[in-house]
This record gives sequence, C-alpha cells and structure tokens, in this order.
Amino acid sequence: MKKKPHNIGSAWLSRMQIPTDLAYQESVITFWGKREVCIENYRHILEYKCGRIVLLLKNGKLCINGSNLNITHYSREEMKISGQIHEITFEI
Amino acid sequence: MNQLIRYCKGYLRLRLTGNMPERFLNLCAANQIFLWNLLYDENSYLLTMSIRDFRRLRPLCRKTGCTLHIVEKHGMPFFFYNNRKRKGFFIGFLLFGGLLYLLSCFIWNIHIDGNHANSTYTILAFLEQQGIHHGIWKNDVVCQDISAEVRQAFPNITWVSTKIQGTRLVVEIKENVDGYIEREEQPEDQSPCNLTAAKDGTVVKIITRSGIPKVTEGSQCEKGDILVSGEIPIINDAGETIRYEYVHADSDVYLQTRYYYYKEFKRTYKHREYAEKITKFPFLEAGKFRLDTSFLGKQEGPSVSYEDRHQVFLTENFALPIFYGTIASREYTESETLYTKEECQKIAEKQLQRYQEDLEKMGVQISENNVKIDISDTSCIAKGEIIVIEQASEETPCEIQEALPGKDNSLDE
Repeated sequence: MKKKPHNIGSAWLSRMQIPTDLAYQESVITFWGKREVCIENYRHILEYKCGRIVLLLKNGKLCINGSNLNITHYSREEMKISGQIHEITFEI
Repeated sequence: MNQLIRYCKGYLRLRLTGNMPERFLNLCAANQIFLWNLLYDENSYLLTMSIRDFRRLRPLCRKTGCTLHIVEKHGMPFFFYNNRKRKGFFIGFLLFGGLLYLLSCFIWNIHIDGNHANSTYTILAFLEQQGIHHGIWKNDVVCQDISAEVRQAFPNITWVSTKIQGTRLVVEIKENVDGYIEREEQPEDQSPCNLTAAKDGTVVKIITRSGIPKVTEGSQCEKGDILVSGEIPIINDAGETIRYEYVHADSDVYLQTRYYYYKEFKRTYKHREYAEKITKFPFLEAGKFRLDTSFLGKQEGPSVSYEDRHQVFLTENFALPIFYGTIASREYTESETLYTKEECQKIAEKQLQRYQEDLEKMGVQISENNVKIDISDTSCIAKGEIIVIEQASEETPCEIQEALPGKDNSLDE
C-alpha cells in the first residue's frame, strides 16, 4: 500500500522529536484566565479595535473579542494581549 | 530591570492616526521596531516606544499614510534636558560621581576570614603595625607582602591569601588545626650543678638520673641542703679519691613541706539593698565630645551606674571614634549587717578551698589539712598548717675542686 508523503514526513518529524509548533509552524496560544493571552507564530495584525483583534495565522485567522483589549507588547513572533477576553474563534 | 533600562534610554508615548494603522503595526514588527502598551483609543492608537526606534519611523509613516503625535516624554534624557539650566544640580551630580570614584580608590574594609586561634583584632593590630589600616590608598597595598608578613609573624598560620575586592581587603587564612607547633629546640643547660632543697621538709621520694643522691626517703632536710650532688668522686683501686667528675645533677625529689595558712575577716559588713527601679539615660560620645543625658534624672541617695557602650563601625572592622549607649543607674541603701556563724563558716571554707586550688595549680599535692576556723563575736579567723608534697629542689652550681696533687695520673700509671 502506498503511503502519503505527508504522513511519511510527520512520522519522521515525530521520530526526531521535533516540537510540532516548529515542525508545522503552528501557532501556540497561551491563556492566563480571561485576562491575558499570548500568541506565538502569528503572521500579521489584520484588525485592531477596542473590542476586537483579528490576527492572521498560517492556517487561517484568529479572532479575539472582548473589551479594553490592549496589546501589552508584540514582536515579529510573539504578541501578548490583555483585557477582558470574551471569545476566541478560528476562521479559515 | 527592563523598566530601569527603558527609563535610562528614554521612551515616548505616541498617538497614531491614519487609514492603515494595522499595516503600520505590521511594518513595525517586520522592521524589528519594538512597541509596547498598544491601546485603541477613539479611532486612534496609543503606543509606547524608545527614542531610538522613534527616529526610524519616518519611512513607515510615509508608506502607510499614518501620522504620529508625541503625547508624553519619559526617561533620563528628557529629565536632563528639562533641567539643563540647573547648573548646581549637574555640578552636584558630577561631584557625586567624582567623589564616588575617589572614595573607591581606598580600602574601607579589611575582612579576615578563616581565623580561629588568632583573633581578628590581633591580626588587624599586626596589620596596623605594618601600615595596613582602614582608609589606606589601594595602590599602597601589596597583597603578596601582606601574605608573607602574616605568615612570618604567626607561626600557627599555614596559608594566607590576600586580595582586593572592590574597596575590601580580604585576608583568607588557614590555621594549623591539629595543634602541632614546631618548637625550636633549646640546648639544655649541661653545666655542672647540684640540686639543693628549696624549702625545709622531709624527703618522700627521690628518683635520680644523674649525680649522687645525698638524701634518702624519710630524711629531713633544710633549705639549701644538697639533695643530689653533681660532684662524682673517681676512686682508684686503693679506695682513694683521685679526682672529681662534675655532672649536671638531674633528679625528681619530692619533699613533704608545710604551708602556714592565715585568713581573717570581720563579721560586720555593709549590706546594699538595691531599688527595683533602673533608670536609663542615653549618651553619645564622639572623640572628646560627650553628650550625656544622665543629669536629667538626679538621684537622691547613693547609686551604682552601669554603662552599656557600643562603638560605631563604618564597615565590618572599620571602627569610628563614636560611641553610643545607655547609662543604667540604680539606687541603693546601705546598712551594717553581721554575718551569721554559718555564713562565716561557709566564707572561710570557700577561701580555704580557693587557696588549696591555687596550690594544686602550682603542681602541689595536698596530703594533710590542719586548718581550723575560729569564729568570734567580731571576726572569723582561719589558720593552721597545710602539709603538701611538692618538688622543691633548685639547681645550684657546683664548687669545682682542683685535681688532688700527686694523684692525677695514678690510674694511667
């Protein structure tokens, strides 16, 4: 039976014990309750309003809805948002 | 720490307005311009960034059509700029820096580490003699010389390391912990001598190593009597003394001697009844100047004072001539009291016991105690004899006699 190339790659990566965020460039989202959220491996800021922040990830968009949203700091790889977070949704 | 660095470098609070603020923010991230505290505020954005990054923003603003307005300025560069006309402040600041540099050129603390047998005070006093003291110019300190001098002066110090750490002179010491001390062998006195009695007494025991014993166990002797003679007669076959050989008499002679004990004290004494209340007065002493507050509370009767005195140390061992503390004053009343017979007996016994302990410390063995305590109405007298066994001999030089005439070579012949 012929295996898919993606599966071979993933098998190799898992065998080499490479973290998945590095292997697939997936975003890592860390929460501190409803107050703070830290997003790693994002691409761009698409929208920033008082109650809504939309970020572009590799595999889609990340919408953060809340109130008094404040970007505590951000760099090319990492962003930290604080405020009252009500909802987080992934959009394709 | 991060905030302190930001404050030193200076930072700005800016208001960002424009059509494409998100694009501006993304470009900032792409150009590694670090922003923080980004807040959306009524169709504009408030953000914070360093002065250095602010100067790089012009092309990004042009590209995105955004405008930036400075809202607040923070940090050291702005502080200096705002206070540029206050010359005294800057002079003070420079003086502070200069003084700090100047003071860092001196040794302000001498730390001695690892000493157990030799006290820190002893080592510091020695260093003081060598010219190493608190407040010495750093360049005048040669660590190798200090180590060598300390090693030479203290035989029980086996290892010394001296180093300067900032304004501290650290002297690390390792001492000889097993107690071995290399003693210099002194040549024994081998000159001819006799052993004579240092006191009157009876010989109890005699062990002779060299010389001829003149006494036996049980014989009486007076002070100055020869106990062991260093003069050894050489006798020929006919039993005649032809000459004398002189040796250094060596012997352990134990004599039974007597000590006369007499101690008297009066039965009346002044008894002090101390008041419970203790009054404390603080004082401060700087050199010859003394600020004392004890005059505030005048004592009516007689009183005793105790001074609790502390010295001010600038560093660990750098003592300043400034003292502070309290004087505790306590009143008392004095009355004439009489010791009871039991108390007299106890005091006399204690005095006698202390006397006997002193004798034992001198290497004397007490064999008999004939001290009697008489208590009269006015005084208490303890008197009597204490019989002891002790080594009471002393070396006296021999009187060297000339060789007997005509007998010199009789053995050889």
